[in-house]
Amino acid sequence: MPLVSPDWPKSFLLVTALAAVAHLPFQEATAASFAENPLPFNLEEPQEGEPEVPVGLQAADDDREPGLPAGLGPAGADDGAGVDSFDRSTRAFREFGGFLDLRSGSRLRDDPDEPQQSLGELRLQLNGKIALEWITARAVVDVVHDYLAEGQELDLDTSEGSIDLRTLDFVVSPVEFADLRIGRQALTWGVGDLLFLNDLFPKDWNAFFLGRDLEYLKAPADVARLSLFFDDVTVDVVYGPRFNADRFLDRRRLSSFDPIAGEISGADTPLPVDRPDRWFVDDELAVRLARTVGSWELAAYGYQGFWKSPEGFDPDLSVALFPRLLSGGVSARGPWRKGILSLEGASYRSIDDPGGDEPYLPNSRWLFLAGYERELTTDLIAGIQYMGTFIRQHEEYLQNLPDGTPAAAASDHLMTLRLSWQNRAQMLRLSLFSMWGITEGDGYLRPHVSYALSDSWRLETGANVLHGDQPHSRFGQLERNTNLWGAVRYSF
Amino acid sequence: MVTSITAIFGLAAVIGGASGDLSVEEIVKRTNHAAYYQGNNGRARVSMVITDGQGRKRERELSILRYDAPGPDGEQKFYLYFHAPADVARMTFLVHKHLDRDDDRWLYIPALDLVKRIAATDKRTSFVGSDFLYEDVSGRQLDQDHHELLKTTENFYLLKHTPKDPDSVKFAHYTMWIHKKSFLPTKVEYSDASGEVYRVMTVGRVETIDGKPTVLEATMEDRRTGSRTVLTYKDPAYDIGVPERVFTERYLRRAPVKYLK
Repeated sequence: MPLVSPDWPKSFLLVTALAAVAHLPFQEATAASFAENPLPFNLEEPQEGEPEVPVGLQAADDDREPGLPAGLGPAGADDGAGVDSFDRSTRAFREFGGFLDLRSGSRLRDDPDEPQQSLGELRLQLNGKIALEWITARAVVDVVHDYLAEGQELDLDTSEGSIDLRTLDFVVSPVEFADLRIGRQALTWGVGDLLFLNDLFPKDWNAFFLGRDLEYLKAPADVARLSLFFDDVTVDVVYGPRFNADRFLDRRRLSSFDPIAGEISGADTPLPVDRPDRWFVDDELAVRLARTVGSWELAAYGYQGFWKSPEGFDPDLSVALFPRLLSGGVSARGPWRKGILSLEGASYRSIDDPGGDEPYLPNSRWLFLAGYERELTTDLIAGIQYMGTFIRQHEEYLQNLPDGTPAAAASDHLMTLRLSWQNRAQMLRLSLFSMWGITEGDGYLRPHVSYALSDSWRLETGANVLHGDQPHSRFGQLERNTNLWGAVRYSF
Repeated sequence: MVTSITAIFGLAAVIGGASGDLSVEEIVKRTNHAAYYQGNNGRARVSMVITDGQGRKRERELSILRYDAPGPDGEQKFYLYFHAPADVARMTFLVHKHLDRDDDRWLYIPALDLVKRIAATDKRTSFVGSDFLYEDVSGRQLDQDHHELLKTTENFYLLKHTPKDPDSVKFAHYTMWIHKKSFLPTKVEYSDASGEVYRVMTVGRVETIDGKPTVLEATMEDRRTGSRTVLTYKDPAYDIGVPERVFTERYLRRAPVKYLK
């Protein structure tokens, strides 16, 4: 659809032309007289109302007159030499690259359950992409030496071991209006900034809280994504034949609340989980309908699968579960008052707990997000978000809660604030992302500094500052993992 | 990030259109057309070498597609694909340029599969860290300045542009040497309130592509920081039939190889 009415450029030009005429120094001049007398200015005899000729243009102005650039001289205008000789084969989309990244982090608080060092790894990423008109194929693989996880067996689902296969996919267009992308890939949709409502693709919360690069927040998923592009609407269907779970909080690296013990546990008390992993049975389906209206992006979402992190618990087997989840929602994003406004809502239905009376399974809930981001001054951007979570059957939940188990509030309110700044050359970037759990009284600060020494070398440092008085709250449980990290990266 | 769009795509002009004497508004209009609106759509590969005051060099390489809405010079859409440096390679950038409101801009980060909406609205910020500004590349709106013709020489019109809202920009005025035959601005100088020229754009090379004189090399120099950026356009082409649908989220995620190659 057209972005604007076809009439507006004309009216704009008219206004422009009128403005130009109105500001000409000769108020009596008409458009017709301009045609007859197109050079009304005379530098020797300034007309009334005409500004002074600026310093530097009065006497020596001829010195400032540029020479004719190559190609605009008398003989050069038709000289097309050099253009046709450009080798188009060099613009083929065969691209290979990667980086070497050394990263280390340390806990800033005593944690009796974890080592002082929170991060220590050397990572080599190799990536390649071949794009032809009919197919694009990509591969991204990391070879990792993680000093804190030596001897782990290779597991491409959890990224344990020395290989992390990030991307291995291809995309084709079976018909002109469709893209089919199959393979291992990162997926993102929704409008939140580090808050995800309808985006139920896998995340890596260990990478996020330990200080790996932000690209690792998105864990890869093994899916087929079919995108259909109709005139007014885009339909995305993402099918994962086997559940792609989060790389959820791993107590070997991050101490967190242990519902069995009722306290924070760490490396010595790994969380046993029962991950749904049957092909074509424990599958996932995510759907999005999207359209653009003017500058606004509207979308509706659906998801059928599982809670992405093990939010359920089987007290008999003492094992954490991924209960079934059905979700639907909408979002809108567009310009408003010199900034970008984002709105999103979602309904989570906990299929295994329809009555809300299962104390060890997550309750159904509503989620709402409103965000606004704008430039405060040149190169300084601020973003603020609110997210509310409302448990649907809170009474049933409370009635069935075992004694001594901390109860979640019926409604939970969270605010975030982001400030980001870069210098003019865009070599130094500072950002501070903060989350404030209003209901749970906890918080999270995520400062980040990145400095590019050159196109290849980059230094980074950051911290994950977590606090909260309650050992079971969202950030409070992670308090002892507060860490500071640094990295040096060479990209090629 | 969008600087070179303007420079490259905008720099072609109608030859022989300069016969006779012209009004200031006509010169401004034709210059704007020559600098930003040649052909209905186009493509170029842009490289930039940024040399800072200490002599350190950085490089940027990207491909650009442009689409003009039908009708008079107005709405435009740009698609950028980054080739270098390595840490931004394969990122894509989409701009819907408007004249009556802020542009819409999206950045796509493939590692996260994230389509990020850019909140920045200040057009006088650096384009991809170079000395060119976003506005240099995408065009400054004509009605933001008063335009005056200072003089006419054998080859050039010399125009002076004074902002109507002086607080909105850092320059007090800028002058443009416009090649009479091609209407290409070949030298642009930005002056501060004391009259000192602190920022200069010069065109180094022009070639005629599909009958349109086109800037192939331009340099922006920041005299205060000593930094300079040399921008070169390789293999520009006009009217290659890029359809409007390329400038959507679909192609942020999947590069339109057919038109980029």
